[in-house]
Amino acid sequence: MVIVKFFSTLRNITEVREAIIEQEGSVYDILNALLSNYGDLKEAIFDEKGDIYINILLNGRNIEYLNGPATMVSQHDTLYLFPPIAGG
Amino acid sequence: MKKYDMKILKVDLTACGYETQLLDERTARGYLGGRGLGTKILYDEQPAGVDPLSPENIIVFATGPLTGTRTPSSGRHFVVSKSPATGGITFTSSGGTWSAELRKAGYDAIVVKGTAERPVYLWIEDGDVELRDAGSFWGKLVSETDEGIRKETHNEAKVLCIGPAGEKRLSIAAIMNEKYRAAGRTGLGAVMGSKNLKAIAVKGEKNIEVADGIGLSRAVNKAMKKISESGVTKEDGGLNAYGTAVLTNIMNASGIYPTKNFQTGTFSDAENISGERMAETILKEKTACYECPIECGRWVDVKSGKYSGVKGESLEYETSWAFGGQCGVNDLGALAKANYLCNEYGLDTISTGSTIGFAMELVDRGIISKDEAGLDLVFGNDEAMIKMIEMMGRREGFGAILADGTRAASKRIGRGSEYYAMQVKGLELPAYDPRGAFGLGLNFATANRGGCHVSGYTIAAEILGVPLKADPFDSTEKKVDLTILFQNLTASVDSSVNCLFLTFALGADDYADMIRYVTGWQNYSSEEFLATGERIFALERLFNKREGFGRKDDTLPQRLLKEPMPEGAPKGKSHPLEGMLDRYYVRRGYDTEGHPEQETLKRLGLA
Repeated sequence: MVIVKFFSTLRNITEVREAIIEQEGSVYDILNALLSNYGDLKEAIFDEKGDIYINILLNGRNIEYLNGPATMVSQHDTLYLFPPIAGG
Repeated sequence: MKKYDMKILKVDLTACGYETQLLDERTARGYLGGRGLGTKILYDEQPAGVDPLSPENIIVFATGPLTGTRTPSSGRHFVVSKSPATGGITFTSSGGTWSAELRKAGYDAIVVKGTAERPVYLWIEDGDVELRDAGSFWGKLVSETDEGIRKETHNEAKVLCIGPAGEKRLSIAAIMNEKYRAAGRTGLGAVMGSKNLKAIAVKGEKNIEVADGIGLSRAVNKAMKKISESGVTKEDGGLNAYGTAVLTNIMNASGIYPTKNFQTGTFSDAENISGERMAETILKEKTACYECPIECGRWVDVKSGKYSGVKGESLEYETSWAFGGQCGVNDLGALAKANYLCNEYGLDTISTGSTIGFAMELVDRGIISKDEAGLDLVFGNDEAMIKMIEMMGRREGFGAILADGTRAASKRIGRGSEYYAMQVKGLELPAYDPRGAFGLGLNFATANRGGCHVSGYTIAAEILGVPLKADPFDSTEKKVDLTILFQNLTASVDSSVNCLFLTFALGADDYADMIRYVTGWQNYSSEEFLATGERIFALERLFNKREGFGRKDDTLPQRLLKEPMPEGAPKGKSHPLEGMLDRYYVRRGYDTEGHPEQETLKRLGLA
């Protein structure tokens, strides 16, 4: 079981704060599983070239500094998804 | 082509007189306005060692070339002076429409020195200047002052003022404008209070002319296109939809949301006080500053619970953290009430909340007793927190001990309490734990006004991935250079004057274009724009050097250097400051004390 939490405007699309994905695998696998329930997220997650456009944290660490979309996600891990945002 | 001039109003409150001065082009081009202009005036005109609360301290209210023009998000002003909180030079800024109105009233900056014999306010209308008696407003809250002065002058006047906290010279007193906007940090409300200057009200009809209107239209259209396409600044983007408190969940997930006085970086109740929750519950409408397409302002209206009936503007990320995660409070209504009180008393929300959280930890550790505090001042007690804000605002009871921030409070309390004062150079740290963002920690340590996030907001790259991604745990030269770049660009934007949020969509080229068309300065380039920021940062350093600042002041609270983060992504990390600081000084061209080398001064036109 992997928990996926949505922040900022992604939550407007999912209309829920989090989703539970009952499988393990890479971040890419989890995203694909997620899209089967929340198809509208596709446009928000990927850009025109099919690259991931949003920030994805695995247990608080950006996957950019792990193994990117190939980073493996284990049982009880949490993924946090949020679009480009700033403030301060 | 209209010649660009900056007209400065110089007021001497002791002599009860004023004069006007046109700024020479060399200074205007070298320092722009806002933070840069204020720094230049302070450095040139104020000797070392002046007591910040004495008549000799100069306080500058400055706009910049972009202010009040049709360039986007150009409704900010800067206040520059010597800070009673830090003892060094400082700037603080605020949004709204006061700045644009000042320019329409005929002045680009106001320089105030001296002390009035009795409380006064400054009334500027279409170029006419008058010092008026403010006796009837002394002691009044900010909203009463704003409404009263508009009644006495013009209903549409824009009022900048202090509340009781400024009058009582708290080192955490803000300067408010239009009731809800705050130039909050570093205690400049106290400087106004020390001068018996309650307010500055402005009203004007003048056109803000620019050198090349057609060129500026082109540059503004280009900038607006970028703003509308940026995921950060576009309509219905995160800032527009949720305001700055959109950061609460993200910082918490990243493990850098300072909790209970930086004891950890994860707050279990963060979701309950997030921007998303605010939008679902107490948000009434979005608000915007002058010519701002982003609309990140929030008007909140609490409709249920024990804080039902509380309303007001500007419950920002920093404010919701200062009274939320920092004090362990999870009720948005309580945060709205705390924000309301700070606005009314004229208090900096960050330093007020941070100082109360500091006192809560001292109670928790038995360093002070609840009896000594006079309240059940424990983490999570919203009622005690609310009560303490008013006690601080009035300098009453234990509030008088806390009223000047954590550094002063720890000196008064002693007993090892200074370890828990989460401040740099006397300024309380804002809502990011640098153990999980090493660039921001370097910025906190080196920022000339003290523990300030907006001097070099590397969080954008380290956590948010805007406009580029940088590993938060990188401490190499690459991160040092990134921090320096952010600090320089910020000083430039702060002097242009424009809102920093636009830097998420625009680059130095866009700013240089807009400034060139507004001013008519030939060949004004992005390189010159960035060099201006580097010059201003170095001049602030020179001011602080004169006041005795050096490497010892470029540091972080011991907790962040010694205590590993207990949980979350930064688990086990402390901040690796020393090595980064060495590299920072070298890359900046500063000596080992953090002072600009002679060659650096020459390169920047400061020698």
